[in-house]
Amino acid sequence: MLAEWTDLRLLEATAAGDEEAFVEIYRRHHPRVFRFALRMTGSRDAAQDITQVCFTALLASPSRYRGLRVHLGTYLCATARNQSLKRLRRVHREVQRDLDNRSPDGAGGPLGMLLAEEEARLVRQAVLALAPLHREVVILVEYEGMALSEVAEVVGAEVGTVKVRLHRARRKLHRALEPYVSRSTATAVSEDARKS
Amino acid sequence: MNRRDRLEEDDGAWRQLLPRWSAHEAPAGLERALRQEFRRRRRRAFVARWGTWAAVVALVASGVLALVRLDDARQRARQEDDGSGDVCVSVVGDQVRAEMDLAGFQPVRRPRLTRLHEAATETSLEEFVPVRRIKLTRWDGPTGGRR
Repeated sequence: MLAEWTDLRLLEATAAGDEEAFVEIYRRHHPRVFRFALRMTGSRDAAQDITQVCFTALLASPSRYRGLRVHLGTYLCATARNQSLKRLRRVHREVQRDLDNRSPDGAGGPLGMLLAEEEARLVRQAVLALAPLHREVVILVEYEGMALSEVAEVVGAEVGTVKVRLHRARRKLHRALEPYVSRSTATAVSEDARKS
Repeated sequence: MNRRDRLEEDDGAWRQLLPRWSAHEAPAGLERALRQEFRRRRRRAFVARWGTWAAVVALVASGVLALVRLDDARQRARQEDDGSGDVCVSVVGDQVRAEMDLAGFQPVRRPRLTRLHEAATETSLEEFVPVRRIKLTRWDGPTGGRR
């Protein structure tokens, strides 16, 4: 039943003390918030903290959201963005050591896994090497598939500014990843050939 | 996505690499922690709400108690001031007996008694020093002032 409720209704129920309504809000929106924070900070622990802070803030003052006319997911992403930037400013070394080291699935055998791991590491390094303002737009557009207008709401900037940042970020990523593209394509071709 | 939102697509193959960095799922412990936080906040809100009410009730009760005590003290003081209870008049047949509590007086000499009637005397309280206020009601004799 809760799955059919709108975010606003769930938020009202949460304010009235309905724990399940709050958990439903969390279940709906936490994957994007967590992924965003993880890619912004490069740290699983930091992403966990940021996600918790976002939802605790929503719990503490739901009225702060009600006044805004944005989607709750966008609002939570904006909170996660602010928390991530705050954290990055606080930590001198932007990229932390406990990087997300998720192993790719075992398709393609041990060699394929190794190559996929290597590629994941390269992409992670390239994304984390971007300036935070560039990184956030890349994550929101490329990974979360958000529209530019939505991204502009999250980052609190004009759409034009977002476009410029995205363009520069893509150029940097292009430079960083271009040398590995041919190798990756070759790997994919050889995998296809082996499967067939 | 409107026209303004649209961005010239980059044809670089490097973009195919981006999905290689897949993100973890949020840990299950996070939901548990948020549930606990929710309950903690609800408990705190409950305590704050009822605590405020309890404080208001306690404040009102102590105010009422203070007023009651003040009123009692005032009544006691008024009763002490009121000497009507100190004079007792009883009539037995044609005799009137008047008794007065002189505990509140310090006699400086023996009271002078003047016989008014066969069974009535007058006590002069002249030269008695009152140590507390006493109210004496007028006594008009056994006939109540009628001859």
